[in-house]
Amino acid sequence: MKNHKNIAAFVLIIGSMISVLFLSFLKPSEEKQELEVSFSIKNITDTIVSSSGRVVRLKSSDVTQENEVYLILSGTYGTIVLAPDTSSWGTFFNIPPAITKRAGVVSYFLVQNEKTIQEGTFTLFPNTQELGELSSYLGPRSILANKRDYTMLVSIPTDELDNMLPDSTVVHLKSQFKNTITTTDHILTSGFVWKRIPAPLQTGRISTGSTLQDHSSRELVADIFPDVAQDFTITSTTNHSYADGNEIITFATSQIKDSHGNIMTDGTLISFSITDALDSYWQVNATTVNGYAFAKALHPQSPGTWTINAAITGIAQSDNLEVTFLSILEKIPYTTSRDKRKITVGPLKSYLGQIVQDGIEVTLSVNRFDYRELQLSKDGMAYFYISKEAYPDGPGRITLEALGSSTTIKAVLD
Amino acid sequence: MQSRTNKYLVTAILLGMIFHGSAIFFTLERTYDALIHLFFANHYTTSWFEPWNYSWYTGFTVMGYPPLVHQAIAALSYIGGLKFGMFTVALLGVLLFITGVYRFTQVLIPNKKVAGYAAILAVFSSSFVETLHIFGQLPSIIGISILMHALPEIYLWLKTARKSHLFKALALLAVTVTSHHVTPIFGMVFFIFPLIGMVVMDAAREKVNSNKEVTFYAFAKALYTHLKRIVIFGACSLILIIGCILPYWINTKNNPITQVPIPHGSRDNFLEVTSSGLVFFVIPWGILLFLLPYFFYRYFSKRLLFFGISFTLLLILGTGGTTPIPLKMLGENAFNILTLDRFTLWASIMALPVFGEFCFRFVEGDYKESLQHKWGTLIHRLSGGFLAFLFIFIAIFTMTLGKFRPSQPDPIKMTPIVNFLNEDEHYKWRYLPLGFGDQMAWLSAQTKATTVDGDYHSARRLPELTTRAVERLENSKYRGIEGIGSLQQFLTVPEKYHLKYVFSNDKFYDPLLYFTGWHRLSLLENGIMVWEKAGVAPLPSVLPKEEVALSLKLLWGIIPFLTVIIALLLYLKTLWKRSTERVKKLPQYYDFKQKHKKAPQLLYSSSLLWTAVLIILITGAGYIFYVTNTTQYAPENVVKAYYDAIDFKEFERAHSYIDPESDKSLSQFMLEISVSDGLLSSYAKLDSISVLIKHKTDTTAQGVVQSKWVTPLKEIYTQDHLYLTKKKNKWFILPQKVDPDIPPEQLLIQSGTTYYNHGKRAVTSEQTFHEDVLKQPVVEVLSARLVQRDSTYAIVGEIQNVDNIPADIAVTGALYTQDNKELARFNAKDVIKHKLLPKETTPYRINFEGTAWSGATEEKPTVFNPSMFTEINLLETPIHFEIQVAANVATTDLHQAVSLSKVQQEGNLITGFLFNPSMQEATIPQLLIGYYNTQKELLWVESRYLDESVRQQRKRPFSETLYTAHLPSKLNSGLATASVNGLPNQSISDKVVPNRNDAGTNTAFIKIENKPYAYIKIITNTYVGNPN
Repeated sequence: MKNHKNIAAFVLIIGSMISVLFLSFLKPSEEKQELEVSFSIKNITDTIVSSSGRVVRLKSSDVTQENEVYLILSGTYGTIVLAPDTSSWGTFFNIPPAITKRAGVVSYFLVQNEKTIQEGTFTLFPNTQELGELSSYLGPRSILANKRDYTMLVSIPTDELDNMLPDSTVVHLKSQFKNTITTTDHILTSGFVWKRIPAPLQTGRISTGSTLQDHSSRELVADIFPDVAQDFTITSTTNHSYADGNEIITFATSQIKDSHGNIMTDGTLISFSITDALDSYWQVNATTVNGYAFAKALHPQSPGTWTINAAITGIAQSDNLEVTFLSILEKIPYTTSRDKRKITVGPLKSYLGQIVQDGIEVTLSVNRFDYRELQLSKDGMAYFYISKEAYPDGPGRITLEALGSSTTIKAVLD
Repeated sequence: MQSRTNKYLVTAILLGMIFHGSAIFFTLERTYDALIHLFFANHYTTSWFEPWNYSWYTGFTVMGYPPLVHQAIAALSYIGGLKFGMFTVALLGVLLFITGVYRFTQVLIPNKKVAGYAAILAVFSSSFVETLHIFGQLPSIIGISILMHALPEIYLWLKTARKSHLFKALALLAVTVTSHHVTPIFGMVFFIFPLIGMVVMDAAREKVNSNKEVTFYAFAKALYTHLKRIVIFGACSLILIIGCILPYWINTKNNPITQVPIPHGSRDNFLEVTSSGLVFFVIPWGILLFLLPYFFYRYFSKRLLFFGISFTLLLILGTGGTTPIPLKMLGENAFNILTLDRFTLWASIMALPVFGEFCFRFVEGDYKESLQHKWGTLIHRLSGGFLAFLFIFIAIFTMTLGKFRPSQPDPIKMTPIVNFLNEDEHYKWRYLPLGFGDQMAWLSAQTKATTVDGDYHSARRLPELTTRAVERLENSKYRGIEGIGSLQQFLTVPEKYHLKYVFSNDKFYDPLLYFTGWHRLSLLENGIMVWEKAGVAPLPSVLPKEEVALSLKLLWGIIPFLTVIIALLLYLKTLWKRSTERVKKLPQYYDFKQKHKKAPQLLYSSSLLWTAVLIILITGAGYIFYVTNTTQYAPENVVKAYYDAIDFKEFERAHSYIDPESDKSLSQFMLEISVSDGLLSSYAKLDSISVLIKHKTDTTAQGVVQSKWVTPLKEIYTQDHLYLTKKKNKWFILPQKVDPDIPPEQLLIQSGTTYYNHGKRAVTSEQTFHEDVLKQPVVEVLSARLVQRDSTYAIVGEIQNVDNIPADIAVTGALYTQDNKELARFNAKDVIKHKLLPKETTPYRINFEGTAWSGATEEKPTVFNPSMFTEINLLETPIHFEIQVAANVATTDLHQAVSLSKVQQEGNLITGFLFNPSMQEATIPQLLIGYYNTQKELLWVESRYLDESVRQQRKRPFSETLYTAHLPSKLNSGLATASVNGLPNQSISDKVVPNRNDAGTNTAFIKIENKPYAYIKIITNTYVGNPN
């Protein structure tokens, strides 16, 4: 098997050597015939861009299959190899619109039988007569009403075929804020112009645009938002000041503004932190509407004083507000069963003598920690039963707590 | 002998067509596999020769499954659409199966009537019904059917050495190979080997005068003479098995299945997991179980001895994990990859010929006479009728099983989803269907959009999927938290996969989506909720793929159909020849027709005994089922039934367990249910429950119920005390107390700020115009700190939205070594508030999960630990870190729905209540707790979810344990490497809030005593399930 392979390889090598020799004898005679004809084109001239392509004529029209002639073009679009076309009036190269549409320098090479016989460059200029879109860009699209912030307008005028215009063309950049319109003229550099628009110190909207001759850009706008807020004050409103656990107290801020008097954007978050004398903590959040924020909290179930502070984190805050809630219950009414295991609390009455709203927390504990149970009142009543499992027979101090009051019963459970 | 049509066979085919043909339209689309095959078929319709499919798993090759059936559906779909193709192929499968059983039976028991009986029985074979109508395994059915057709040809080749038989046998084998890869390999072992044994046995029998003379010596001699044919056949079939699906084998070698095995019911212990036992053992065997003694008796006769061995092996392998034998026989690896139900399928198919013979003998053969003689005509007929009724009942029961116990969600209309994906170039991102079941394959077949998920687990490529034993992301729910972990990682780092849309058909996943930073886009008209993640880049236009050689592509595209064409041509030739022959010669195996011997007494008595044992077992199982499932039979039962009813939201049933003498009317009960919402009552799935009955008397009892619920966010353990009472021999539950709290106001009036974003103002299919592109909101990182706790690393800090518009933020953290080599990169998952109002602040914590680093061989944890997460195996210690924040304009989910009230420290607890001052019900409140040292530097952040919702103007008390583990140590901190929207954080800080003060930061701290930290700060976040 191996021998067969070797023989085959041998035959292959010998065969190819013979054919190479044979070809090398043939080739020179062919080349001699070709060299007799020589081609050239007129130097291609500079011109403006066009979308219709361009024709370059060959001086000699004797193009045969043996005489392979190509025109290679290399420009901003890329490189292309053109074969000649023939018609009744001669042989020519047809440069496609893809090349002639784009401004820039194009190099060309006339190639015959893989040899460059003529080369040169030509320039395609943008068409300053037929203008196209005036592209503008604006950013950032929202800025703050302070002296630090600004937005920037960039304008790139182009001709009909989307080529950038030559430098030194003049573009007018315009911006409007409230009743002021600012127009500045700018000379194109590297194809574009730009301008910084400093933020006005008032909230609102800046509209911008740019023009070149009678061509205009689209309208672009930037919103001016208020700068960081200034400190503010808070107040509270409620229907009564009793600690009944069933009324809403509303905290309101004054109108929050920045240092230039601009009202905060709607939706700005204000956090109200509340502490009471026992260091319990409340936090209520609210968002502003027209600079005002209203936060709602539930009245506590035990009397005391709340200290309230509202803030925009890290930026602004209010002074402290104090609200005092009054007790509605002085003594907790209750009855016990004979074995002291069944304890009925109630009726719990409020500040008018009315029954408290359902859901008031009533806590019973025996010796503070031995047994603890929480019930929510219904119709002013709460019912407890201390089972023998929970607390064995014997003496105990039963404490009842509700609405900030507490009562202790010394009893012997059996 | 005159050629006559077999009436039984014609009956069987007609019955089969009517029975399966009419049922298939109601069952096949709801099966596990049919739609997957449909998806593959769709792949071939669009690119027959290109095996790479981008639709699933970020791209996979269809060379992982033999193509014939898929290509057949694809070819037929050119006539009448994909589903037409699927139903046609399924009907073809039915036809091939019935005729296959007919031909297979003739070889084993050379009697046309018996074969006809077997064919009729095949129509109603419960294992076949289950495979087709419940599992939808079309390739498997086609494969085994063609294999059965091949068996007579193999027999004849071995016996007669006629080449035409060899060619036909090989042609059919090739068709089998190209339709299902496992069937021919195991078919070789379990069907063809015993057949060879039988041929040799027959040959040995020919040489001698009686069965008794077939000794081992005679058998060996016959084997020797047939050895050449056997070897030729064996070698050819080996070449076919490898050659016909060569690309498949090459693909398997290049991408070996190194994934964690997926749990499959057929590997369970059927005695422990009775549902698996029912589906994978009792149903496929059905009535055949009663006749096992007869099967053994027949199969262990001399001629069929080898089939007897094979049958026994299949029977044992099919018992899964009930006994350790299958595991030992197959070995650990094969046992965990194979689904063992196919062994039961093959065993029950192998039983059909003998079952046919039994029925023939019972209905019109010798058994009829002997039994009628023994029992009398009536009992014989009654028992026959009973058996037939039971047989058909089991078949119908099996077919409708999918209706009673749906394995799939209700059919989903795909058109709105397909429209959504086509709209506004949404297909340029990947999507993820959740809660679609196997219908996700049907969706994938209809859209060119791609998904990170998929439905063919052997093709999984993403490390997140391969290292976790979850079959599909979308049925994660049923795999408990482990599966959800895999889903969470996709939702946390969606930009890695260009995942932007989630189609949710199951609100179970909604809280997870919300807390990982997704938001609802719209509810489609088919009830599917579309979730979106902001700031995810679209897919690149060129996606990576694994290229295979052109020759393999051509082999894959051409060979399967070629095998069918060759097989058809060979058979047409035979048909032509046969139609010209006037007198037909019976095939050779008819020479070995056996006379029915009188059944031995032992068989009769053992059959009776076996039947008695089975009846006792069934009655016993029925009794146990009754006792444990009769809801009000015992206190435990009623408690479990109550929880089950609550779990499945069958509230009327739940109410029926409530003491009827209590004044809880159904409307009151329903009202109380309707006002309870939250993680536990709306998004939890009962995982386990244990009931302890205390103080039980004749009429009262107390139940302590400890239950474990799986929710998308955490596991919840609850302990409830129920009081039970017995009335009229039934146990009831006494109703529980409800919260009597009355809100202060009746009518709420509130004004607020809302947001709306057009997306595009001009109606155009082009990309958004420059003037419509919103500026990314400016947010500022206030602090960042790289911390280490044991071997895990995290970045904690605070972020503020300093812009005037709401922001949706995604925070990415990266860890670097001393030489700035990247070690890990991950996003903040749910320990962050993703949607921020202007000037709102949130703490964040980025944990680094180790998906990209975890090896494929890692074993899954046996016991789940909720606080566990996939740790990264960092080779070096991180020194530097980086924080990148991407902010986009948020317009939804900006509710401030709960406020902290009366928060105070009580020892190790932080207690208080949440009050809802807003207009929205706070479905799932989340507390983000930040821990600070005395310098008020953030040390650690934790997230806590509350189990119940807070309704408008109502309170919900909470009591959370403060952080008790040792505090993480600081590795690095600072904002030098923080960036926001690609800009340095410092430049934002200088420009927007240059003079930051301590407003609001001082007052928000809660002082903590006796802890290694000095303060905590709590930020609330809420998921609003039904915003109004």
